Amino acid sequence: MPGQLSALAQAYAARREQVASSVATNRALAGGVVFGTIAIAYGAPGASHLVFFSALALFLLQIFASAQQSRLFALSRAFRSARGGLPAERLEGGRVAGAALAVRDAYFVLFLCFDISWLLFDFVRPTTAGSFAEYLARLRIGPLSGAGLLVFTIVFWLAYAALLAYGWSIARDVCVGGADSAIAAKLVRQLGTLAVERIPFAAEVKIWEGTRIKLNGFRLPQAGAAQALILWPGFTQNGFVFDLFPGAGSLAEYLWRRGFDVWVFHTRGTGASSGRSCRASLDDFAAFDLPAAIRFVSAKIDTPPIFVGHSMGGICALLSAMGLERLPAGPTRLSDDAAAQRQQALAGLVTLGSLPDFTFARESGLQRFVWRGIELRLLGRKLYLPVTKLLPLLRGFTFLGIPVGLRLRQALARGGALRALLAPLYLLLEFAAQLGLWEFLYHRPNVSRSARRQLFFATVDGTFWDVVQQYRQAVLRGRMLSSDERVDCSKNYGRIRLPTCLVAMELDSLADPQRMRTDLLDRLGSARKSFVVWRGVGHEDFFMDPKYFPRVEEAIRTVLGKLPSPG
Amino acid sequence: MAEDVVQTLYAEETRRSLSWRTAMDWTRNLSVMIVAGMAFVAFGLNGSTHYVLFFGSLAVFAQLIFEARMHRFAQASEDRLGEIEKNYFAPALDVGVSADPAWRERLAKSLLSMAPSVGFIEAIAARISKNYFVIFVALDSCWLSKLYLDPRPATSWVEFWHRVDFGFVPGWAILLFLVPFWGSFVALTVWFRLKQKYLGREVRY
Repeated sequence: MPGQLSALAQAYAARREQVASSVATNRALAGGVVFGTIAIAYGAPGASHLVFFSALALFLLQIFASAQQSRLFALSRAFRSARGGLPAERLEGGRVAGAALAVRDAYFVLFLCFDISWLLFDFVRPTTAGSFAEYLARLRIGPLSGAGLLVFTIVFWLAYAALLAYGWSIARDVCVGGADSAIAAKLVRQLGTLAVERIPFAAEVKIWEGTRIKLNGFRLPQAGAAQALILWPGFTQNGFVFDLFPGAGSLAEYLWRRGFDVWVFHTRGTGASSGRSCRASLDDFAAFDLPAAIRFVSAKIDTPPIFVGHSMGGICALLSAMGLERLPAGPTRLSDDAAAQRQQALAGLVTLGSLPDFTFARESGLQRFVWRGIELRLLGRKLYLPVTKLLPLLRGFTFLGIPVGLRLRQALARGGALRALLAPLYLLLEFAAQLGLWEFLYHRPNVSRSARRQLFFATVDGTFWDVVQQYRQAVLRGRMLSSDERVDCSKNYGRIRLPTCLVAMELDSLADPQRMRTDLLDRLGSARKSFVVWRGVGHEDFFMDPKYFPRVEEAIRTVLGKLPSPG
Repeated sequence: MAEDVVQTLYAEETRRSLSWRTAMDWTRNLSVMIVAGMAFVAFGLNGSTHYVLFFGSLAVFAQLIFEARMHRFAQASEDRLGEIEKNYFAPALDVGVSADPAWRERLAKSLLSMAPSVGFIEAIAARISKNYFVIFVALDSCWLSKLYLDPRPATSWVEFWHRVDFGFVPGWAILLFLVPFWGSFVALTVWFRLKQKYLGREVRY
């Protein structure tokens, strides 16, 4: 097998080099056409603006470049896959993707030069136009009026901007291959069968109003009688946060390779889960969603799973384990039966950066943050975007189901007319990504730029007004109450007797390690509890760099290995 | 057949296929450059006639013939590579895939045979479908635009016909020639695409 893979990789590499060389030649020729056109238009005596008909040659070159780009990317990915033995992603896209990549690679700039030269030519030749009307008259080509031509040019550039945005969006992540995409897409698909498969599932949640929603997620292939893990994401994020870069950069895949049976959930209204139009608070997650998810997983395995919740995921797990219920009439209460049932259903609980009581909020500046808003650095100035101002936006996304982040990118990759409509939104998000809206989530020096962008685009998804209100109240009061304020969760951690490992991050601005020890760990009723502080790490750094993955495994194994008493 | 023989054959066949591909890239690029050059001359130089575009298309047609000839040999090479990939690499990588028992025999026959597996007409159709359809669209667009627009837009159909006149051959006859020309192009393209779709022959370049 290694010899065969090596031979295959060499063939891929040779083909890739050949196509890369073709792309370079194509780019040079296109540059030559632009240069030649400009030289003749401005240099040859008496040349008419019809010389810009050479745009047709440029278009031809772009068509061929598109096909080449498709091949190049398919081959690059296939080469890496073959060299590494696995995994190859399924080939997607084709001609439009290739065209977008060609536009991004060279043709946007080339056509820009070309069009500027053309528009200026009619402005300055034979003498500078005296008025706009005269300029429009000069632009006229046969029956096509100058205004018509300008409109055509604007439409052309809008389409080109959409293609450029699409090219940007897929250049890093999407493996493209056209109809003539190289060395048998079939074979690459065969290689793809060696990749770690994500098996989708949908757990149904019955809500007391009678509404049913589906929590979607994915499981990695079952590996014998492995310990099952339920991975539950935090505030505004979907489950892809555990699978940030499929392959070596995926925490879920790492844990799977380390022998766990991994189940990743998208919370209500995020990822592929339904329920975007529901009202939902942390209580709903704790009372309905988590128990339903745990029941769903437990029905398919032999031993109770371990619940691993990040941030809000961990908070919801704590609220759920203490027996928080919502009654049909609406009020919340704590139920001993529910607490016992839910705790029995789990082998243990690992919370990552989860502290329901924001007792540290005043001194850490979190309260000020909630009041004042997110700090933006724009053109050297500091601006503050109040959190409440963002809420209608998040709510809008939730209502409209506009695909944000990954779904937007998937929609862009899927194609059709939707692509052109979504591309400006994507550009807006690209701009938003540059603003560093989410930088409070991680310690910047610890994480790469690509990981930061991936976090923004793949995982930031949406949330619910009630969740935000509940958080806001918790921050302002310094303790976590149920949404109707009937239950003070902070006084009931003693009800949790589940083996628990609390993980705090030293540089976490959302969960202070010292307060986690005094306000949560000390009050937990569990006899088997442990507390770990990860030094030099922010709230989400461990998702974004594989070097932190072993720490997560260590925390899980602490729960499995009958926890030592907290030191 | 020893494993290293197949792997060596695959590597060498890949190299050979890439040489053909590079050569075909150049003929295609040359065709595009001819189109660009014709446009420069026809529209950039004062007093140039439309003949430059009309006769320029002959040069592009010559490139099509050259490319079709190369295509026949390149396709033979690609067929052998496909055979090895489907029946040697894929089953090795995935136990669920089984090799066709007759593949080695087919490969041996292909190596022994001197004749390419693709006929000349099919090769022409393949290159038209892949490259030359759009190249000729661009070329003829330039030509018709030149006829219509230069030196000033034609004011009537009659004027347009007469601009195409070539000696004693009337313009309409020349324009009529476009019908069988483009008809054959479309027919060849459709035939080739259908053949690809229903007979499963893959053209990878």
